[in-house]
Parts: sequence; structure tokens; C-alpha cells
Amino acid sequence: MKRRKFLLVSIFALFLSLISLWYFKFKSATTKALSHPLDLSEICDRKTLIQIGNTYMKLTNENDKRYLKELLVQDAAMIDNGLKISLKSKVVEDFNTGNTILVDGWLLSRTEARQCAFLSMSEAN
Amino acid sequence: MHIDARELDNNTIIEGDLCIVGAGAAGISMALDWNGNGKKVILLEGGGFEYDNKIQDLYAGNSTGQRYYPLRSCRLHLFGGTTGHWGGMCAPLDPIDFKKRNWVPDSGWPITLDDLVPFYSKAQKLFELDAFNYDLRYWQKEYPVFTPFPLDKNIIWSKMWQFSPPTRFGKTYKETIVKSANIHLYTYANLTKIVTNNAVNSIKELTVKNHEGKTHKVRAKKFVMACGAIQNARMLLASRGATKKGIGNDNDLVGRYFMEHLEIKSAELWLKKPFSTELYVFDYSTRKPRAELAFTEAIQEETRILNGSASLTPLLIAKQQTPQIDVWSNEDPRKSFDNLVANFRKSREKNASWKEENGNRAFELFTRMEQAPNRNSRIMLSNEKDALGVPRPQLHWELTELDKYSIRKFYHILGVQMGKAGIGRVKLDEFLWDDNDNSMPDQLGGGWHHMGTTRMSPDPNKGVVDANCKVHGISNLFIAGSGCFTTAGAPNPTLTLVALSLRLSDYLKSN
Repeated sequence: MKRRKFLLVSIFALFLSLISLWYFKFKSATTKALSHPLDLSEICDRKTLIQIGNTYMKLTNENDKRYLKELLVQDAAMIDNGLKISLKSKVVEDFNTGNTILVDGWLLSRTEARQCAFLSMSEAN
Repeated sequence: MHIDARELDNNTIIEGDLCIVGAGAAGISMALDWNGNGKKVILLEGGGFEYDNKIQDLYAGNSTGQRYYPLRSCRLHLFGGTTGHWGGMCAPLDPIDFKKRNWVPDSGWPITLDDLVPFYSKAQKLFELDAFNYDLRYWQKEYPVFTPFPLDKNIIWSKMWQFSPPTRFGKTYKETIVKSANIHLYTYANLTKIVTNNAVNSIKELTVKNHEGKTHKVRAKKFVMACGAIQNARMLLASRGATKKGIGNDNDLVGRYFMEHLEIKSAELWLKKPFSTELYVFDYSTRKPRAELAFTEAIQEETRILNGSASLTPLLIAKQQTPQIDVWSNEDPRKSFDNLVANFRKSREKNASWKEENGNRAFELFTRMEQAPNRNSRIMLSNEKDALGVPRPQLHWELTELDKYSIRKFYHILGVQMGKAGIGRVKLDEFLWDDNDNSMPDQLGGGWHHMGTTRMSPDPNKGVVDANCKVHGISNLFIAGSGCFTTAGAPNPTLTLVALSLRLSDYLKSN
């Protein structure tokens, strides 16, 4: 009886661990995507991206991490379809629709500016 | 033939069919066009064949408003004029430059680009340039490496430039002029007064003087002022005899609408990946043409901005360069010129390896934009007089909100287009960040391009000269050069001012 209970507990613990691992891995991938403007990262170093993020927060008052996440991930489908790619498309769409902002002189898509802000907050945390 | 006016008897009367005042790009081009046609052409030059400091000093003056180069050194006063130190950059104006644009006050020439095309072709030869063709596709045949950025062609196009050696008119055309049988070049013959008849509808004669104390009179059937936009206006204003306002100035327009090009480092372009920029980056070692990024008529109209373009310089070099207005500060044009050359050399030498291994990714974007016509931007007369008794010029260079707005908007649009194309990002310089700031920084330089002080309009209430460059109300007085420009366009004016002068020459020959 004890042995059976032990096995059940072990399986349950393993299951929980796997769930947690998956969750944290997923969360980490999400955070990474949200804080990594793909195109801009090829141009600016991390320090500049953080600086842009800080200035963006001051300019817009979008300085709540959860709110920024909501703005960046506007529907669950974005996650399903691969957040990185979805955000990249959103950046292009911003330029096409004129959803841009000037931050520290950089003419940026609103989305990539928010990604910089997200990065700044993640770093601060 | 050549006559040194210092060696003539005092009070000599010089007579001819046509008198051209000023032997710079405009004056020499016109004189050459009359070479051998049997008409007696008098070509007056205030200086000689070599630089002379006391002659140059006749150009000194003061300026107020937007910071500007010393008037003494931003032109050259000798045979050949300012071609003695120009850079040789040539490009024609665009069709839009001649049009009436409802967002650009006082725009609209009474002629079109097509009216100038035949004369542009002639001007090209004088500047030792290739064919009059500024189409990228034409040049791509010779330079297949010329690849434009993949940007929206409805918004951005490649404005091509050709480079003159640069032709120094004073050296290249001296022999032809001096050996000509019908061109009578008088050196050291400084115009000090234009004398009209009593009715003030015709020029009777000119008074010319030199530092040697000689005064002569010049009489001709027709007179052409080709002394440059500042000097032409100055002499018209200073010639107060029968008219108190100056010649051609019944409507208070002479000297007004002074324009320069707005030249300033404005932004940086950062590419995601290296891209062949052979088309855009100026190679000092060759005369290879190059392009600048320019906006289409449609986008200019939609966004209500002035015409302009942006050149690319690798940031590694550009960062080492001092703004040209800080470099060109000496009253002696030779020293200022040397400083300018040294500034370019310094940046190149410091960065011998400016070409990054895998291609450059960061560039300075340098603006070259027309200045909006502005009545308050003007040449006036100072209370001070030069050594020959002529009031010195006083420049008030004044810019408008449209100038600043246009530069800012230009880079916003460019930034969006670069983002759209996924090529890179544009970073605007700090003076462009604030939408409400209409001031221009002191680092703004001009291109040493003086335009618009005797602007062209069919209406005497709106311009000093008509479509044929004849001064309104004066039957035999004409103006040659960029002073006649109604709007400035973005390119350096030399090619256009010579084309316009050749058109005037053609008109005078046929009339």
C-alpha cells in the first residue's frame, strides 16, 4: 500500500514538475519575444534598447508591465501563431499604417517601442 | 581682347553693343555665346586674373538673422568669379520647382523646366560634364553596381548628380575670351553706378572705377548684370539717381526673397544589413555620378513640404566633420576654402578604413533643401561704404516655419519608408525632435548659393524681372544668374544659372 502511494505521489510530482517546466519555458519564451524587437535588435545594442524603452515609458505613461503585455499581445491567437513572428508582422503593419513614434530621435513602430519598454521593465525587475 | 581699365586714360568712354557686368559663370557663359558673332561685347570684371585682397574687400558686408558665412568670403571677386573655388556639383531643377504650389507662398516660375532643357544641354558642355541625362537607369548602364534602396517608388526616387572637374572658368576660358576679336574684357572695371535716362525707363550708361583712381563710362545698347545675386541687388539699390528707391525697385522687391539652400546634418540611417551604397556615397577620387534620396511630387504635395534631398556619408567619416558654417568663418576666402578642404581630409585620413569589412551600415543623412521664398529675407544697403564709395551690402537671412517643418517631415517620411521596407531605421537629430520648435540651429549652413534677390515674375508687383530676365520697366537692362530664381529648388544652382543665362543670351541675340 505504501509503495503504491509512493508511486502515485512520485508520478504526480513528476507531472507537476513537467507542467511547471513547460510553463516557465513558455513564459520565458513569451517574455523573450515581448522584450526583443527583432529588427531593431539588429541595429541597436541592448543598452540603447533599454534607453529607448525608458524614454518611451516617460513619453506615454505606458509603464505597467501587465498593461504593456496586453497591448503587445492583443489576442491569444498571436501566441498560438508564434509570438515572435506575430510581433514582427505587427511592426511592419505599424509602419504601413503610420502607427509610429519618435523616441530619442528614433522613428520607430509603436510595437517595437513597446517591446523596448517591456525590456526595460524586465531588466529593472 | 583684354584691356586693363587701370591703364586707360581717366574718363574713357567705352562703347559696345552688349555690356555684361561680371565675369563669373553667368557672364563668361554669355560672352562665350556671343564669341565671333560680330557684335561688340563689353565684359566688365572688377578684379583681375589673380586674387587681389583689396578687390575682394569690395564684397565685404554684414548679416543679421540666421547665422551666415562672411559675405566677404562666400564669393570670389576675380575673373572666373566663384567658379574659382566651387565644388562642381551639378544637377538640374525638377519640374515641380517651376510650378505654383499652393503650400509654398510665392512659388511658381513663369517658365517651365522644358524651357530650360536646351540650355541645360549647352551648359553641360561648359562644365565639361557628360550628357544631359540625370536618369538613374541611364547611369546604371555604365555603373551596374548602382542599386537603389528597395523603397516605394511612388514616394522616394534617386536624384542623380554629375560632377564637373570642377571647371574653373577663369582658367579654362581665359584664352578664348582674351583672344576673341569681339569680346572686350575689361579687368579692374568695378561697377559703381548704373545711370538711367530721366524717364527711368532705359539705362544710359554705367560708371566703373578702380582703386587707382580711374573712372570710366560704359555705354551699350543692352546691359546685363551678371555679378551674382547679392551684388546685382546691391548695385540696383545703390544706383539712386533719377529714382530714390533704386533701379527696378518701384515695387520694393529688389533684394527681397534672398534664398539659400538649407544644408545641415539632420539624421542617421542605420541599416539592418550592409547594402551596396555605391550609388549614394560620394567618392572624392572619381567624377562618378551619385544619387541622393529625394521625394516625389506626389508626396511633397500630400505632405505640403519643400523640395529637398538627403545625401549619405558613412557615419565613421561624418562624425569627424565640423559643420561647414563653423569651418568657413574666415573673411579671407582662400583661408576659409583651405579650412573646408582640411576638414574633409581630416575626417578621411582619420578613418582610412571607413569602408567596413562587410559594408557600411551607419550613415549620416545630410539635408539639401530649398528655402521657402520669404519677402523678409533680403539684401539691403549698409550705411558703411566700400573703398570705391558704394554702400556695403547688409544681408538679413530669415527662415520660416515651412523650412523647419519640411526638414522634420522629410525625415519622418524617410524613417517610415525605411521601416516599411524593412531596411533599417532613421534616427533624427535633436533639433528635429520637437514639433513645436520652429527655430533653426546655428549649425545650419547654406551652400554658398545666393538666389532670388531679383526674382522672376510676369507681374511687376511680384518680381523684378520678367520671363526673359528683363528688368520690369527698364527697356535695356537684364539680369543673369540665380538672382532671377523664383524658387530655389534643391540642387546647387550653378548649372541652372548658366542655363538660364544662356537662355537670356539666346533671347538677346534674337531680339
